[in-house]
This record gives sequence, structure tokens and C-alpha cells, in this order.
Amino acid sequence: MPDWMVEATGLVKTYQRRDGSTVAAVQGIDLHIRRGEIFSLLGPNGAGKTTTIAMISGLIAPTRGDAKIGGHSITREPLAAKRLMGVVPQEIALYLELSARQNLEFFGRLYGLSGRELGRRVDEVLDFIDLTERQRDRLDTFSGGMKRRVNIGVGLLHRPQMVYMDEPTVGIDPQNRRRILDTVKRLRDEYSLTILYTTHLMEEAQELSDQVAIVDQGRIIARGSQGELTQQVGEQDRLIFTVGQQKVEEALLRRIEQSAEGVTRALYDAPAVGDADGAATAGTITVFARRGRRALPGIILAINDASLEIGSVEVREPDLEAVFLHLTGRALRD
Amino acid sequence: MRHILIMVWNGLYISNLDRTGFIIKFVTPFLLSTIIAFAFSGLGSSLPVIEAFPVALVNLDEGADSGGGPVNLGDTFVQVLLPAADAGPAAAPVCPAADAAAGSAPPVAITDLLTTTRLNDAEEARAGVRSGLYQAAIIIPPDFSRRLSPQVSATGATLAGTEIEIYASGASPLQGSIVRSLVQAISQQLVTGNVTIAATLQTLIDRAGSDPAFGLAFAAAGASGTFQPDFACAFVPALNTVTVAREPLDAVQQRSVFVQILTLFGAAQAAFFALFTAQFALLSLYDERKQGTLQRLLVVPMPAWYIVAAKLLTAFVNVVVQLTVLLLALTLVASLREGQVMFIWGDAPLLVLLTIMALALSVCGISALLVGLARTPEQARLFGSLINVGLGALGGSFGFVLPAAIAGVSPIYWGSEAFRQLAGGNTDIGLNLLVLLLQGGIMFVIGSWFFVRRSGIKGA
Ligand SMILES: Nc1ncnc2c1ncn2[C@@H]1O[C@H](COP(=O)(O)OP(=O)(O)O)[C@@H](O)[C@H]1O
Ligand SMILES: [Mg+2]
Repeated sequence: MPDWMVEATGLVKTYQRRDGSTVAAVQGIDLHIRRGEIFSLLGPNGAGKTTTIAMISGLIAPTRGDAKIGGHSITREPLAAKRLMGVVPQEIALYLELSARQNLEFFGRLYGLSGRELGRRVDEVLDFIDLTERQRDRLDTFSGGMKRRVNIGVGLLHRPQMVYMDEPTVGIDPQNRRRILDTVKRLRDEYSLTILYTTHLMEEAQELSDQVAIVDQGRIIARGSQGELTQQVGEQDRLIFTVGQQKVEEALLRRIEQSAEGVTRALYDAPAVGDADGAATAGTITVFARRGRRALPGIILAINDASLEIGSVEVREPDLEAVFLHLTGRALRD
Repeated sequence: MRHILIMVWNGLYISNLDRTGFIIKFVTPFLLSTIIAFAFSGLGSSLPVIEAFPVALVNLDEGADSGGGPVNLGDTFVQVLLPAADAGPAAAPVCPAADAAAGSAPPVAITDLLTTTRLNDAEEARAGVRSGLYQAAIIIPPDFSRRLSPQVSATGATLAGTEIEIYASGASPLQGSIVRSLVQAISQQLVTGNVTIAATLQTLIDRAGSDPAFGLAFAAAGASGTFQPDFACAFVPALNTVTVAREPLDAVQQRSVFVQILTLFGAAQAAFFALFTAQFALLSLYDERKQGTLQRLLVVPMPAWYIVAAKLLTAFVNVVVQLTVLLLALTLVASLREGQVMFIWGDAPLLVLLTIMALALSVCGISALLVGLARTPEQARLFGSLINVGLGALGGSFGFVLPAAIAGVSPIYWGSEAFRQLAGGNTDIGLNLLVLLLQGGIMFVIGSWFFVRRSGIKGA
């Protein structure tokens, strides 16, 4: 039996709303994370990723189930379990009126560091997150990306064996995102840290993960290495046609499925109104097909017959997005 | 415990970075009390140095005949107030002790304070006060000696109470209060003297009752008039007045109107603003939740209740620091204004500190209850301000004073009253401390319970 860093079994979290109704945020999640690996929880917003992390970090009590961190139960031996972990919350969780260094020093002290040892660790972390120059500045003068880096730094101060990182790249520019992804890989490769990484971005999970668990509606719907997961979709390519705001009939999807050899499935994804950027996205038709490029002409004809205009066409090799779509019939970004 | 102290320190540090908080905590109450003190004590005009002021003295005492012959205590009074003048039949007796005492203690001569004029008519004296001729009139009633002399009967010797009338002008309260404390001190001495005589007589009578031979001799001496004990030294004007009059006079004289107003308003303002400090400190738990730092604290390997304990302790320390700094700042202002280093809160700094702590406890208890009962931080802020203003009004922070029965609801009353008492040299503030500690303790316990519940922190 492997030496699990994190071993969660049967985690359930049910929230009680003020009006008496309940929200089943997490409906039975098992996790087994090996030492030294990056384990991603991939799932759309509201899937239950943050709630899961909150339970296994001891922030909230599970309704049912338990998690062991390095063998210590988070519900029965919370202090021992918490000593092993560093947490990087989804939201920036820092004192904005303090400097980067003051934040690090404060949390470092709470983790039992003091004196020269504290100073050394803080210097180390500042160097690691590349903020030595700005260490004396108040955080409210920092950019979003810089705050994110401090947010990560605080979680690393006490040299934990494992780190939870909850969507650490949300809301920052591509340059800072790159930097953070590289940091995460360095933590595994140079410091042998175990990392539980959550994201709703397929590309991130794809780039980082040794193991992935796909979460949807409070449950893990698939897990394994990336290779194992994409095999679930088979050797199918994914053809994505954007069709703007035009209406797509169910009948068209059925016709597409008949239009060429190798086509197994056609799905319609309606335009999302007002997403994160505030702009409406285009509707898309996604078609799964073996040897996708060969099926392309037939599909295009079928769409043209329905008097729909095609905005763009994209052919993708099997990936995690495809797995999610395949399993749920929905796109990850919803 | 280390964890709690680290969090308290951080909380104090952060709360003092906040400029608005700093202004509400220190600047506003300080400026308010200083401005009020300047405004009401007459800005710029120096205080009236208390010079000898005119007082009328009317002695209507008809004297009494106690066991030892005729006594006129009113005359003794006159001797004290008009030592050099011809005080009437009973010339001051010379006692060896009096000379010794007079030599050792530099006397504050009563003539330095009062220019006493002796009148025979009480109504004339009162009219003189009304017309401004005298600042006060001291009127000794006809039965003064009679009532104060021991009434010897078969069963014992007793004293009856009496009253000296002090007719003072409302226009000069300070002078009135000086005369009042002087007269009080002198009568105290007279009464003490007479109590001694009464006790002595009582002993003699008791002895006569139990010892037949002595009883016969005592009765015979009394009947023949040879029992003439010398009680004159029970009233030693030079000895008594000087020592008794000194203390209250010093206290009254040193505290200028400016300092009096400063202590009065300063104490009430400091206590009032302390309520806000405690509230802000506790409400910062909501800010920490919004900021996410609470979530971070919750994953630190320490018991969750440390977080709540640290918040409560931060509030407490914040208030203690605030009150201490304010009281010291006000004392500094007074020193600058009076041109001499002085501590305006009396001469029991430990009691001042104890009052500060008791008041801080009470104030934090109220805030914990409020923050714990409110459903949202917005609600807590709104109701908090209303309740604080209410408590301030009840406790006398806004310049009007309510009867103690109503004001007593507010810890501000008990706290600022204790400071005022201490400032006046009165250390008898046990009741204030008791009420504050009880009020504070109960509120703190109930409040903390609600606060913990509201914090939503499990295991706290
Ligand atoms: N404190 C809460 N009370 C009620 N519902 C909650 C609470 N926290 C999360 N939820 C709900 O639980 C579900 C999962 O949320 P979350 O774990 O934050 O998802 P994710 O992190 O994957 O986006 C969502 O539907 C969310 O609305
Ligand atoms: Mg989340």
C-alpha cells in the first residue's frame, strides 16, 4: 500500500441555508495523493473544489467523512495534521495594510518560527517569490499578481510537506500566471513538495498534473493520469465549430452524427451571456470523431444545409476538456 | 498563549496604523476635553489666585453649663477664626502641646485666607453676602454649645447634633467651598473634643456606679462645685485649626477651574470613546473574514478559540492603552497650562490604573455583547453607535449630569466618576470598581459567548 500524503474518504459537506434548504456542496469525495506529486482537482465553478480543500485543511468540519494528512486525521488530530500542510487560499488572504515582509513574519511566528530562523525563512521565501525588492512596501500598493505571489509565499514559510493551492492563478495577467505555474512545478521538482492544485482551466491541469481528478457537482467523475483519462474518450478528435448567436436545433446535431464516417457524438453549447469578461461568448457545436480531419467536409456540409454560418473551426486532439465534455455533455467553463 | 500574544500584538499594530481609528481613539476625545476646559475656564485669563476674602462671622451662641462650669464653644470658634482679636470672656488657654505643634508645623494662617468681620446680627451678615460685601457668612446658632455639650444624666453622657449656618454667595462657589471645609474642619475638632469629654464623664459615672466609695466622693465634689476638670485643652485653636485646615485647603486651592473641568470632561470623553475602540477592535473579526485572513488563521496549527480570545484581549488592551494615553495627555495639558508638572488624577496612580482596567473590561463586555447580538457588521455599527451615544449621554459625556440612579446604568458614569473622585484626592472608589467589575464581568462573559457564536468559529 502506497504511502499516501493525503487520504480522504467519503467527504460530504452539506450547507444549511438561512431559509432551511440545503446545498450539497460535496457529495462523497475520496482522494489519494502520493508524496511528491502534483494532484489537480479540475472542475467548473461551483463543483466543490474549495469546499473539499476547506474540509481537508481543517477550515470547516465535514458533514461526513474524514481525511488523513501524513497519517493524522484532520478531525481528530487537527494540530498534527495542520503542521504538515501549507494553504494557499483561493482569495488573497493577507493583511493589506502590512508589508509583504510583515505578513510573512506574522504568519511565520504563528507557525512557531522566531528570531534568526524566522528572518532566514522569510528571506528565502521572498527570494523564491521574487519580491525581495518590494518586501517593505504595503500590500495595498501591490499588483494582483504580486499579491498572489505573497499569498503563495505565506503557505510555504514553515516548509510544509504538502501545499493546497486553490485556483492560484485566478484573475491575473498571462505573465504572472506563467510565473506561478513555473513556481508550482519548481516546488515539486526542487523541493519535493506534494501539491494539491485546483483549477477550472483544463490547460493548467494538463500542464502541471501527475494525477487529475475531475470534479463536477460535488463528485469526482473521473480520475487518473492524463493518459488514463484521455483514453476514456478513445482515439477521438474533437471538432469545434463556433456558430455565434444562431439557434441550433437538436435535429441538426443528429444529422451531423450521420454526416460522416467516424462521427460518434455532436453536442451544442449555447452562448454564455455575460461570463467573467462580461462579453457574450459564441455558441459552439462540438463533434467527437475518430480521424476528425477526414470527417470535417461532411460536417461542414450538414451545418451549411441548416443555413448556419460557421465562425471558426478547430480540431483538437484528445484532452481533459474532451474528457469532461464526454462525461458531462457540458463544457468546463460553464 | 504565544499564539494569542502574537495575534494581539499584530491586532494592536494594525489598529494603530488606521488613521481614522487613531483620530477617534486619541485625537477627538483629547481635543474635545481640552477645548471645553479652555472655553469654560475663560481662555487666556489666569485663574483667580485665592487671596484672603471677606467673611462675616456671627456668634449667637448662648453658651452652656456643662459639669465643669460655663462653656461657650461659639467663642472658641471665634478664637480660631479671629485669633488676634479680643474674642470675649474665654481667653485661649495655653497648652504645652499647642506650643510644640505650632513650632513644628508651619501654619497656614487662617487670616491669610479669610478676612473675618465679626457681626452681631445674622440677617445683617446675610444681607452683606447678598450685596457682595462678604463672600460668605458663618452663623453660629444660639444653642450651639448647649447641644454640643455632654448632657449628663444618671444613665450616661450624650451629645446632640447641631448646625452652623454657612451663607455663601452662588457667585463664588470656590470661596464658599473653602469656608465650608474650614468650618467643617473646625467643628470636627470641637465635636471630637466634646466626644472625649463625654466619654471621660461616662467613665467617671460608670465608675461611680460600680464603686460606691468613688461614687460618694464624685457626688460630693459635684455638689460642692469642686469638680472642675480642665477640658480647655480639648479645644486648642492653634493646634487644631492649622492641622485640620491644611489638607482640604491645599486640595481645593491647587485644583484650578481649568483642571477641574479638564478632569470632569476628560474622564467622561475618554470613557465614551473607549466604547468605540472596543467595538472597532471586535468588529475587525468581520474584516478578517472578508479579507480571508481569518481563514488563514484557522488553518494554523493552534486551537481555534485562540483567535477569539486574541480578539477580545486586543480590544481590552486597546482600550487600556487608549485610556492611559488620554489621561496622561490631559495631565500634560494641565501641566503646561498651569506652568508646573502635575498629575491631575490624584495621588493613587495604581487606583487610576485599576479603574482603567475595570472600565476597559466593562466597555469590552458591552461591545462583545453588541457585536455578538447583531446579525451583521453593518447592524453592529449602527446599533453600536446609538448605544454608545446613549451610554455616553447617560454617563455624563455630553455635559449634562443625570441623577445617579439613571446614570448608574452606564459604565461611563461609574468610570468617569471614579476618575473624578481620584482626581479630587478621594480614593474611596470601591463601589465604582465593584460595579464596573460586576457590570463588566457579567457582560464580558455573556458577550463573549454571543461573540464566539457569531464568529462562527467551530471549536472556539
Ligand atoms: N458557506 C456556504 N453556504 C452555502 N453554500 C455554499 C457555501 N460555500 C459553498 N457553497 C456552495 O457549494 C458549492 C461548491 O462551492 P465551492 O466549493 O466553492 O466550488 P468551487 O470551489 O469548485 O468553485 C457551490 O454551489 C456553492 O454555492
Ligand atoms: Mg473555489
